[in-house]
Amino acid sequence: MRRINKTFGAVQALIDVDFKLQPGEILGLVGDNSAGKSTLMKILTGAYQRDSGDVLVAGKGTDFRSPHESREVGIEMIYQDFALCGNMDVGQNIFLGRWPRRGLFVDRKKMYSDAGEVLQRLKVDVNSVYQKVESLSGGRQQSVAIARAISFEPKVIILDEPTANLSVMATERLLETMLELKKHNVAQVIISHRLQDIFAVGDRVMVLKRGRHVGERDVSQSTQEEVLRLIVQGDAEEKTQAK
Amino acid sequence: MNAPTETAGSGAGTGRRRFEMRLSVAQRGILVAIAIFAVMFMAYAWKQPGPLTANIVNTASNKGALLALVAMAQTLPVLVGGLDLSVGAIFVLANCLASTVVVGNPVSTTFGILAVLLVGLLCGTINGAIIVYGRLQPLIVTLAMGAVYFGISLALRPQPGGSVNFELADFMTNSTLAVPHSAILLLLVVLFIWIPYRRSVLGRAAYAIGSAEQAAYMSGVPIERAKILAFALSGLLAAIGGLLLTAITYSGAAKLSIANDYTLNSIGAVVIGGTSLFGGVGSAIGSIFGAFVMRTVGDLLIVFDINPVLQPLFVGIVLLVAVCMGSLRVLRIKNKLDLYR
Repeated sequence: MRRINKTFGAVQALIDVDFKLQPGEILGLVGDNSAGKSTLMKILTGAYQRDSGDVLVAGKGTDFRSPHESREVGIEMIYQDFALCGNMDVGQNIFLGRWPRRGLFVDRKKMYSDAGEVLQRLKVDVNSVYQKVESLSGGRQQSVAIARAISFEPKVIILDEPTANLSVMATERLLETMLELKKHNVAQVIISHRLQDIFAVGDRVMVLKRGRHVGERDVSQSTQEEVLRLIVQGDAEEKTQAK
Repeated sequence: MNAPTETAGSGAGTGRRRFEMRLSVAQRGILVAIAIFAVMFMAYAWKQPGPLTANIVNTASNKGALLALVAMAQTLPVLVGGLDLSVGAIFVLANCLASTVVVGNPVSTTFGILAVLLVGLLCGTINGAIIVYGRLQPLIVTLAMGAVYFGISLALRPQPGGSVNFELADFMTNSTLAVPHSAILLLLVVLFIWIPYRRSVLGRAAYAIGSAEQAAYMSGVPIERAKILAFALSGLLAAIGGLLLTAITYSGAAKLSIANDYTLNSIGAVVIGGTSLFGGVGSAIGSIFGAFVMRTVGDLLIVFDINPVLQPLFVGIVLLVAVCMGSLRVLRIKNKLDLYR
């Protein structure tokens, strides 16, 4: 993504932000509240439209009009609020928007058996694929959302605050899953306030502040304190230095 | 999250539980509506003088089927989280049009029927397109479009009158071996419109939209097409109702009271049938029985010798009771915060 700009009314949410992601890389995207992290990622998936700038996927310019289109080239996003349909069951939610078909119709048998397999593969602790999502706890809803994102072999996964609602055990499982995906050359972006998670699995950290890209560090050559300083004090000078 | 005990309904012994899970809110709603209808109809059959002849059943079926079709038409917009105030007007428009074009030899009658159905489909599609592309509230769009459709009906038929192919009309309203043809019509609509729709991708999408529109959008559900289709099919179903009305009355009439009456009663029938007005939960099959419940109230008043003037009062009470039964689930909710979702 090159020189992305986005305004919401009078608010300049993103100012000339550059963003790069390599295959198999785990990038931590950090910054204070309202720094523009989610906005940047929603522009990548096409949920928001950028005001200016370019989005290139594998070197090719793209112009996603909706999350539907970005998903087709293998970009998945797990939203902070999960984006699940509460009164539909787990199986239907995993296949939300791409239910398996037989002719014109939804192939329900295949949908539920495939959903069962996906959950088993990811060892998600859900009683039944027929269970309504709204009857699950927050952490399990999250598992369903993650299961949905990674069950279709995407190339890029964006996780928006994935660990905010998870227990310590569940967080560890998620981080393991991320490393597993990395082995399969899936690029991942993790938006998080928990630097320890990013330092546990990430390769690179990118810091946004008030819509600007203020710094970038390799995880192996940096410390949490340094990144924290960037988040809090980072300014435009910091950006030129980082480059 | 680690050490999963039982995963994804694949283990043994989940059969019963699965059955319970699958008996969804909507299915319970249908069962409640069927139960109410069965009780009411038995009371009617027991109390009415003389034996229950095929004729009586047939008349009841014809009356019920009219509202049932309009109620099914109402169900689809409600499922995507809107209300359609134009179903009654489309129903009347189809009636007025049918009393003009569904006449003459079998060929012209056939084309007449197709024309009526197409007009219904078109009306619904226009509703849907305005709602989707204008990003407007279904309620206000259909209020306005309902007035437009009613205006067209009046222009078509300023005075009640017209005619219809009598053979077709009689065939639609008679019964064979005590099975009313109008009931068969309902069955056919369920088999060839509702069930395929429900199983289709866009039908499933309609439920997802009613459940959580934003989540559905983020997940790449084809929101716009699904909404337009829901309203388009609604128009088609209302038009089928209009055709049946023409067959029953042998004529067309643009009466505002009919349009309004059917629109409002359709909402009642939808609710009795277990469909949530918030969208995402429900079934057109429930609406059919909801419609029959509302219609049987009137018949019950007659056999119990209650002043028919009181009919609206009793319909209102039945509606309230049915809605209260629907909200009984509140008593079983364990987490109080869920009430405010």
